[in-house]
Amino acid sequence: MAAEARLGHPNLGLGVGLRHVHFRHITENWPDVDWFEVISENFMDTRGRPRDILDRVAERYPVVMHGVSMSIGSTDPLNRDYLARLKRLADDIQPVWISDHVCWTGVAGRNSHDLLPIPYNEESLSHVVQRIRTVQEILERPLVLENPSSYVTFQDSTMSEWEFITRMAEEADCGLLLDVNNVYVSAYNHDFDPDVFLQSLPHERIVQFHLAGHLNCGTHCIDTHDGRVIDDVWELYRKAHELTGGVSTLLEWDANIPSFDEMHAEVLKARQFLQGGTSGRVPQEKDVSDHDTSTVPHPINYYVGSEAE
Amino acid sequence: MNQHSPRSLESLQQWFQSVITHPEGVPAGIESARGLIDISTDDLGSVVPDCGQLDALGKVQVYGNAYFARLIECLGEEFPAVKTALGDETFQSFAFSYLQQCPSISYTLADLGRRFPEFLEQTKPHDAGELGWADFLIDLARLEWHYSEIFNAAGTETTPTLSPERLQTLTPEQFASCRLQPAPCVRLDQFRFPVHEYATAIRKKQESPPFPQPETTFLVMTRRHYIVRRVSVSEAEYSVLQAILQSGNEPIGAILDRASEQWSAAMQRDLQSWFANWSAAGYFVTVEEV
Repeated sequence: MAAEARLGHPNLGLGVGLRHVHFRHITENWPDVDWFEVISENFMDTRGRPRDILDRVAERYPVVMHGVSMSIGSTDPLNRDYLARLKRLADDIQPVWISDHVCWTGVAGRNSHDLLPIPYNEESLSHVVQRIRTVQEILERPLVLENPSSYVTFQDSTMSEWEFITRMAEEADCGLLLDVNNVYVSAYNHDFDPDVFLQSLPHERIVQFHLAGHLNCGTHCIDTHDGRVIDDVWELYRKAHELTGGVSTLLEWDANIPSFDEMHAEVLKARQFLQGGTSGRVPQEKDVSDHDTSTVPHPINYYVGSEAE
Repeated sequence: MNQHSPRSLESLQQWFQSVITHPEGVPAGIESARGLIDISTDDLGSVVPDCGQLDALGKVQVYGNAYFARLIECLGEEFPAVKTALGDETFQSFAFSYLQQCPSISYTLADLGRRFPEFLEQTKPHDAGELGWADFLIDLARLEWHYSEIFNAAGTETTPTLSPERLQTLTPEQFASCRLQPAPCVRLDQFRFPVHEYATAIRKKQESPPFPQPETTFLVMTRRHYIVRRVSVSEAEYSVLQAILQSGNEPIGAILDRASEQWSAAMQRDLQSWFANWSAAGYFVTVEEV
């Protein structure tokens, strides 16, 4: 079935994640940013300051809701309470779209709060497609799903990640969030060609790009969201832009978060790369020589804690 | 990629979760999960292929190492004063034990610390009955959890609260027959130490604030302008305010009559100023005829 480009969604331009360390800067300056992405779970259950900030941001900017807890690939039942709360927040702030990840976060009632990979086979495909359809009925809109970064693959997989994602999107009639950094990280970890991944996707279904920094540990890469985007990822971004004709682009920076202006400047480099330039700043990857496996991958920077006198 | 008939998705997920959340690490998790998938660490490649430069065990350990580290860090952000009081290493040890006993069952990390004060209470060492260090930590954790709940509760930032001026328009008879509707973010709790002072010192980045001596402390906590506020009050004021907050549909006159059986002297002396302070602090949103 041919889909309308970006599922009919607009190209919002170059956006950044709404992070609590920037709340004051944003509400005092209302910076000239194309759009914001918010972590849905950081806002769906609070009536405090984060929600007030979001309401004010949503009055002024296009906002997209990006979740980390839908657990679309889990064999546990869908959490209907979670979905109801997600829909309530969406009804309130009217995001341009709602996204989550092609992953599972827990099973048997538990939540690891990690984005865990699924094996790519017919059973998991059928399972995920059915659940996406159910979620889309509940949310009354197409879901947009992101390729996660991963550190393992499974012997039980019978197809590639890109084949799984393509068939998933076509059969469930959902959108895709292409995380270019995740493609790079997973390609490095699983020794596949990231260009093949990019070329094989149904490009008309790609609604959004993610960009982020990662940590190269030598033997593997970890998706840390804690630094600048490296030039190799920018190059993948340029190719993805060519393949899709350009879609909304969002920089994620969730640890060691710099000033708002510095973070915003990082995503604005996209214009430079799309014109064939290079950043001149991060041509080489970081290298951790001790093959560190103790680094904690994204997601970690949920907003917890409180402000008290 | 394999062409053989795969295991069920459910069994693979249960195995993987069991392996990466095992407190003694991935190899111990693989042994412990043999009832789900019967392999040893040496056979891990039959589930997770060795592709790329990192071997299968190293790959699974990325998830295993992250599981406790991620959640312990979140607990530290939820309980910054408890973490400071314990020190990083001891806090990590407590949090590690807590996560084994009370793993997350919620979609949100905001719920992760809900049972932490109760866990500290249940696991504290038996003593001779005197208040000690463990009791201080339990009270401190309870206070910080209150702060989190109040921070996220419905508040009164965008709705009017009951003003002192509005109260003054009521005759004594009208007042006695009314009911006060509390603000949704008001909480009361009693502590065995002045833990609020310690918590505030930590949040003001004071290094090594002194640990307080035991002192029964009655706190009223609320939120104004999205900041959690707390005030220490007398036992009499605490008790009367608590009676009002828990009154349901009972008129204020009946509540005060009952409270005066125990707090007559304090109420005669201070009741008027209490109400002035409570309304100024926004503890009530409306006054309604019962």
